[in-house]
Amino acid sequence: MNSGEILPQPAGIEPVLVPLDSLQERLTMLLRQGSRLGLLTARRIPPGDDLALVTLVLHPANAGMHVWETPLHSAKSAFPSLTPHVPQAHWFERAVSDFFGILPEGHPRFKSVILHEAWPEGFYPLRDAHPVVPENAPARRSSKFLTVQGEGVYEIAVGPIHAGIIEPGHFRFSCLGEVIQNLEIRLGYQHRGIEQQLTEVPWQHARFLAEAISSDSSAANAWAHAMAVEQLLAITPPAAAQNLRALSLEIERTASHIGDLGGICSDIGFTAGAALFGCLRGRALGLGEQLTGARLQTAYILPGGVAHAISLQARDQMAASVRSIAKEFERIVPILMENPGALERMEGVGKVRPSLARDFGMVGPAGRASGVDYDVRNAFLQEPYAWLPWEAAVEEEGDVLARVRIRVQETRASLQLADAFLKRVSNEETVRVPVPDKLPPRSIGAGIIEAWRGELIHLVFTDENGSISRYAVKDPSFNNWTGLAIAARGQLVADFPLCNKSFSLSYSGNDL
Amino acid sequence: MRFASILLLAFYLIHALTLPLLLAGVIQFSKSRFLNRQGPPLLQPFWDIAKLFSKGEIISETTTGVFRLAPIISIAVMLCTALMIPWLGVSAPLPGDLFLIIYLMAVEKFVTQLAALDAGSSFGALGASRKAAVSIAAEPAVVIALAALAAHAHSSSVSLFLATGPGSANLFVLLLVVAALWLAVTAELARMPVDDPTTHLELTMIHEALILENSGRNLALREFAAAIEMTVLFGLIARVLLMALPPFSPVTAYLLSLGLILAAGVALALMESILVKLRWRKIPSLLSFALTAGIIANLIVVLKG
Repeated sequence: MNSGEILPQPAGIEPVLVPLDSLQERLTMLLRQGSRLGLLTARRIPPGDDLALVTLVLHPANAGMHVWETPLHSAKSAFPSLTPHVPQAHWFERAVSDFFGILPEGHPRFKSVILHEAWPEGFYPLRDAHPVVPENAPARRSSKFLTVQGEGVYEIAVGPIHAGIIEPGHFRFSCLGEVIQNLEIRLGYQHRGIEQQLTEVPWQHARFLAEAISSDSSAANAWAHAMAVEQLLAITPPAAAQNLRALSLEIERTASHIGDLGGICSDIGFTAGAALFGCLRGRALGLGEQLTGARLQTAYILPGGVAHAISLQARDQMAASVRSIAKEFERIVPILMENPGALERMEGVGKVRPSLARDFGMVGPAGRASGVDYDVRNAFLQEPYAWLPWEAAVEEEGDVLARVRIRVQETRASLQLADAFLKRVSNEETVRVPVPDKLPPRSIGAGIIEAWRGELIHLVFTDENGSISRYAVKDPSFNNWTGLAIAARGQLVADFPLCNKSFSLSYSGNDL
Repeated sequence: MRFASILLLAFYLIHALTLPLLLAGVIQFSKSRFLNRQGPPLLQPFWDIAKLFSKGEIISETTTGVFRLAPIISIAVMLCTALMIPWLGVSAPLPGDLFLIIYLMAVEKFVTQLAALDAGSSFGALGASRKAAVSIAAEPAVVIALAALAAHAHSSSVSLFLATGPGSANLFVLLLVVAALWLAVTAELARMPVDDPTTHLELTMIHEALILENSGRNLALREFAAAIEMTVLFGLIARVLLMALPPFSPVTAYLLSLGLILAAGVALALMESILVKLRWRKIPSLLSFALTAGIIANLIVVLKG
């Protein structure tokens, strides 16, 4: 009955206990050998519910990963900052201190990243099971921006409320004339306690919440969630379901990249290009509707498989639209990529050097535009990508043009992949395996997916009753916001929106 | 005689109050059509202005009287220049002088920038400094291009150097002046490729940043003044083009002017659909073309005596 083979799989990941005094040494050693810091956060570990740092170390070379747990002294809520040795940790450590009140001592640029001034001082949402605001605490947090001083330096404050309908974020530019000296990014206005809520809802319903982490990446988030839960349950979805999931993910990537190319056009005032790409994005979203019934592909990918299969007739219709979208894409791409005016706006603007991109762990198209050859689909030999002959595009320049080129190449690749996945769809396939009612106790599951913005991680911990005790999410934007701040330096103020669009980061995914 | 001049004044005033909004409608409409969209109705700008006039205002606490006064000065200046320039094909109701008009427009820009600074937001200051920088490059181009015609007519009086008929400058000079005016005027009006009037990105704005703090009636006056400025300047370009042709009867000249003004709107819409906005640092190079064309026109006029 079941066409997908079920491989015996260990239930979850076995955590490794790494003491605090050797954490930094072990991490730097592994990073030198080509491993990646996937995630750094904290949780309460039994017995005694003491706070512990949780480090997810990824080994792209052999498609492996480790979860380290580092208990902290219960009397002290501080630890020596890893940032001076592992620059990528800087944003993670800020988030850890925001959520848990654990101070990274010796952090070179310590400030809050999620909880902005409107949150009360001393309130740490994930520190206790039922967080409370301490009495007599100031109602507002203090916040400090790095100020640039000197003759003629002035500040421009943008947001969190913008002139267009976009996500909220506050950008503080210190400028000299029309040139940006420093950009400080203040986020967190979209913080809605997703990680906490994911531990509170029944785990069978958590997938709907997981999809809402960043709704333009709902397929990626749903898959990462399903992958983590499946690892906990030690079940393997049928191959046909993996194929449809990948199809859904590539449709999401296609639609988002095409939409961003249109956004690039409108940011350089090129309305004709914006109209053409905008129109094509609608057709790419239509593919998602054909596959899942929803243009943003919600409620489709779920633990155990996908919600429903597609008929052969729908498959043929989709294959025809994929080919016609690919044809139309090739027709309109030169309008942007061979336009001297557009090239002049993009070339050399917003550069991120490859060394900085690696240090700050940039991921996705923004990382690959700066020479970071890392794509989860390849690195972790994921089904069903592993058997397809395809390569992730990498550029070295690190400017807006490189990021746009990556988008163009990835859209092409995604459309080809979608075509290949559609060819594998056959009739009468099981796309869903039964899922047990209970999660195993004291287990860890990890889901890692190449969302269209890059590496997306869901890390799930269960307690002794088998309910989710900690759900950590790392959106790709979390790695890349620093990249945007780096790219903005020394650029013209008027070029910043273009730079921003070339990164196209998620606020809600970062703020959680 | 007195009656005729009052009639002419009324004729110009009616056009100055209606044509600008129609031109804005034509631009919006044709831009939508170039982009395969339905587009708003042609008369939408009239409704928009009416809506703005009936809305309440929110005014920054830091503002002084300058902020309230500036839009009124703007519209007054624009109406004055609309009565001095023969932009409707027939002679203008008020006598005008090239330098008077240029400086009136400079006053308008000055108060607009003051009002933008007055509101105390960093965008106002950003917009004001950008507007000033663009004007520094665009204004000389306008003056020098028109000076070629003035030099030819040996007079800076608008009615004399913009007179049609025999004795106007040769075709090459007129075309150079038209080219220079088109480049400089689109820059002054903050249209593409210098500024994108449809953007919502505050950091890239020039003109929009200047008026970001305006709302309600203040904004209506600003939009109206900008529309009059555009129409009058397009009419000025149309007038220079008409000088290249044999003289027409007043009615034909008027109809041709109207047609050319609206055609300029369509041309602008086309430009704004297909052009990419220039990098901020490239704007002076674009305007140097305008300046060069104006200087060549002057050289030709002077060398030919």
